Amino acid sequence: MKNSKLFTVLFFASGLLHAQQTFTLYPMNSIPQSSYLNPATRPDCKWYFGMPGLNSVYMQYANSGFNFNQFLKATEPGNGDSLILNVNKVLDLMDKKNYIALKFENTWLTGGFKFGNHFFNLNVTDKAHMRVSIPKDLFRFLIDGNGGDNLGETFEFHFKAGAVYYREYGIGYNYTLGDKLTLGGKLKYLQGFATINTNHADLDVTTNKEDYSLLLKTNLELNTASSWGRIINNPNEDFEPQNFSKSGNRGMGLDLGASYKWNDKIELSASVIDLGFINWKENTVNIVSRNPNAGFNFDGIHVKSNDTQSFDQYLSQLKDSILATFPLDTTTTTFRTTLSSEFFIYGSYMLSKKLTAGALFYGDFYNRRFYPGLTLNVKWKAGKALTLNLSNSFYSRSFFNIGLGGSLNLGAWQVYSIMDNVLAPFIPAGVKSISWRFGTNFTFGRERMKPKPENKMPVMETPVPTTN
Amino acid sequence: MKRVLLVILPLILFGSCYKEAKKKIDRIHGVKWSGTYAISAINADLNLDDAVEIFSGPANTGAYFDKTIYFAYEATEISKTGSQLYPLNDQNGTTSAALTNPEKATLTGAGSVTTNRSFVFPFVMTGIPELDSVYFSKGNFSLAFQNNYDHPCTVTLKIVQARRKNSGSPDLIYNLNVGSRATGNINDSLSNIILDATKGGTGFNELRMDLSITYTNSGAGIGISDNFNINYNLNSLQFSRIYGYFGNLSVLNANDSLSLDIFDQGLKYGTFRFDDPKLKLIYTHNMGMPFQLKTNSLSGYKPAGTTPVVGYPATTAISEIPFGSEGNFITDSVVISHPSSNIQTVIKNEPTHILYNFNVIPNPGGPVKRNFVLANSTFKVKVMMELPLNGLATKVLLIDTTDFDLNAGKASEVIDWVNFRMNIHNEIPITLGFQAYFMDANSLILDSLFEPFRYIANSATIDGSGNVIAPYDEIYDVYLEKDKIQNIQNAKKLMFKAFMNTAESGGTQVPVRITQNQHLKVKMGIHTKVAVNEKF
Repeated sequence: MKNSKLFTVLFFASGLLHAQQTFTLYPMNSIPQSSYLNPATRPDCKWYFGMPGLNSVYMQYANSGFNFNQFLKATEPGNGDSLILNVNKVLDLMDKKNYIALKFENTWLTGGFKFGNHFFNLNVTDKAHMRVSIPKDLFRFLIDGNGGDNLGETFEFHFKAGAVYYREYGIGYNYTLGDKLTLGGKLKYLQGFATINTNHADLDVTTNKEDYSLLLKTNLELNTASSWGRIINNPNEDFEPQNFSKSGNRGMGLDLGASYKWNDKIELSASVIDLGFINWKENTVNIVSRNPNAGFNFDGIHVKSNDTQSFDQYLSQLKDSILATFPLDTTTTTFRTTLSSEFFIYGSYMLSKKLTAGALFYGDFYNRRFYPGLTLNVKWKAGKALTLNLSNSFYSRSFFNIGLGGSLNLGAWQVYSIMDNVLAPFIPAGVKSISWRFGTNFTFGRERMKPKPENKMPVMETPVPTTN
Repeated sequence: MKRVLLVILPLILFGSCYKEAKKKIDRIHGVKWSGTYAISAINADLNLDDAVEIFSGPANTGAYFDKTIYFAYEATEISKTGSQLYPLNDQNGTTSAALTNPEKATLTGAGSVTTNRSFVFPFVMTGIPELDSVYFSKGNFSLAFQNNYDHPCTVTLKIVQARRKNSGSPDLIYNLNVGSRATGNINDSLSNIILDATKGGTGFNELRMDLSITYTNSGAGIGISDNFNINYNLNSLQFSRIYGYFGNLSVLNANDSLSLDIFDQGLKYGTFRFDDPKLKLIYTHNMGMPFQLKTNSLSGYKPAGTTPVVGYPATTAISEIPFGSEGNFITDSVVISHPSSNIQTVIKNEPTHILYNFNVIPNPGGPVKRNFVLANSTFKVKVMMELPLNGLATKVLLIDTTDFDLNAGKASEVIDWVNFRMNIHNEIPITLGFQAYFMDANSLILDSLFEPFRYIANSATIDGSGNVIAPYDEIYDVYLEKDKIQNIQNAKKLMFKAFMNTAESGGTQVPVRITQNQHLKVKMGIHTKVAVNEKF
């Protein structure tokens, strides 16, 4: 019973995720939404439009730490067949910075068409992204402690949290030069609804080797804004999420991409998406440390002769001293947040008319760290109606993340579903992330697959001699 | 088929991984964890006000102008208020006002007659020979007229020079009709009545009444024994202030003892030498009369014998508060000190008590000044022994045993070791030591805190005159291993020893002076390793 509880707790506590896009979507040009990852991607239809409100629903949870199977590395042999959980070893499984990410996106409107070598598309998408970074030092401080070999060392509790909700109005265009090269871009007008963003939420703790006093340094820079009222320091105002269209928080975004057909079998592509920013002007609140480099040294509970104050009074005084050392300034100035940019480099090799294998290198930057990923995929285009894509992704020290995507066209009507870590619901112990995109489109003028030439017997021009 | 396998194989692979993980979790039957933590716990800045409290017992501590610290043992304060010293007695009197023969003739002939009489009654107070005036705050006045004539009368009574506060009339006047052979009564409150008992400044203790009686002939005759009787009563009297001459009966007698715990309860081993002890009789009053504090005897007592104090003033004159300054207090003291007295010798004998006998007498010069007191005027006196920390403490050792139960439970099991890092800065010319012995229920010593014993803080360095010339600084660790922690956890009794020795100069103790400017700074950091190795 105890073990079952432990299993459950560890299961959900283990692993911190990655904020990758749906890797499996990238090579699937049967789905028009693949152009979200590379604006140079041309769908295999002449024109399309998405079911309003249900053409692209995207959800993602990811963490960058360790998954449950990795957690088992923190055990060591006990008596007989038993295992002992070594809590200290859990730290070895963590990165210096670990984050948890959540994403939810919904595209209200989308559509596009080809015109000769030109391809135009547009989308109106709501995006809500949240990412929290938790420093390994926090767990190190709690588990290993600040004593022993860690005396004199500075523990950096540098948290980072970002949450943003905005609407994207995108107009994409690509153009094919000759038969090989396609260049594309998407310009995005962004309308920010709400954000909470910490540039700094830092606490540094250093333990003096000699007297064990604790030197505390903090640095806080927090920006919030919303179209519906102030998110914090808002004792009297109503916070009403409405008037979406009236948001005055505006920004711009840009996606760029290219694809190159090396020969009939090899195709290369690359893209960078979500370059851009949002200027936040409405109901902004900025909380900033006035003395970001100031330090407070806690050198024990002070006891003085003839001191008449109670311990509660002392604690209150200590709190006041700390607050006086780390004063905060609150302002309401405008600020800018950048989008979380990502890039993709993809190469594919056509194994047969229906089967293509590919490799996708992916990366994004978050909290001054580069998070790369690699996906290998096999795409099977069964015909005009069905396309399947099977992938496996490697990222954040996680090596088995099976993705599966499929699109089914019944005439013009297309439904699709793409899931990275398709096995996550079944084997959550082995995954760090899960994402799912699904939707339905109406596509027209899809390319026919060229009929395979028949393998006929050669015509014998010379009659076969006969014998008598 | 290959494609199918491509999908199914990973499923089988990951399914087996999951099962494998679950299987491994089921095999986990223990948790191991260790962490090492350090924190600065205490940062104390003390002077001997705090540190010597365990030696001084219930004494207060204080400091002189030059910052020298002293212990102060105080006896219970003796206090008397004006109303306690001079309670007002009830006043009663009886007299009569019979008609003279000519008045009888006039009544019979003319139909009416008026007769006027003046009476002087004594206003007597215990302990106050000469009462000039009284401001009553409470009291009742009642007077009965008994008319034994067969003729009705009208009576006007005037209490001379008795007036209500804030009243324009100089006297209290009452009128009433009394029927023939009838009784008439006057009842009044004396609250806020001011009585001048001096007969216009020429006498004292006088309560004067003027009586005017007008009879109207009823037609009846006048008997030979007919009379008019007067009875008065003043009771439940309280004053707000009184004036007069209050005599010289002792108002306060003290015959008691002052306990010196430092020699009685606190000190078992070692010696203190106080070079400048001071025995003080401290008085405070706000009464309008001079006093004399008469010290009858003082001595130091311990079971082995009594040492009389000699060389103190037998009497001390205490001046009065002048009229109009009743809110002010005179505070002063009789200080019995070295070398004018032998108090240093008396204290050197380590008496457990100081025995004292003294009294306070008003008007030591006789009736040369008029006096006053308010009801809440006070006279207070207390005996205090001040022992300035100027001298020697030699191998002073306190030992005590107390019940002990750490009751740390599981917490003590997971602590692998604890290290207390002590950072000492001692400006006080005293070496301080402490040892704790942890014992079981049968008083068997299980362990001791310091092993080997060491002082908590060595004394500051002094010169040949006992002046501090350099503080003592040291950083050291007190390391407790798991076994010791376990022994402490198992202990049921704690015996502690506190040690104190004043500094030496050139290997010899010289008298030192302990001041409030001298500090003992102790920083204590705690460094501990916690280790859990739990099987389940």
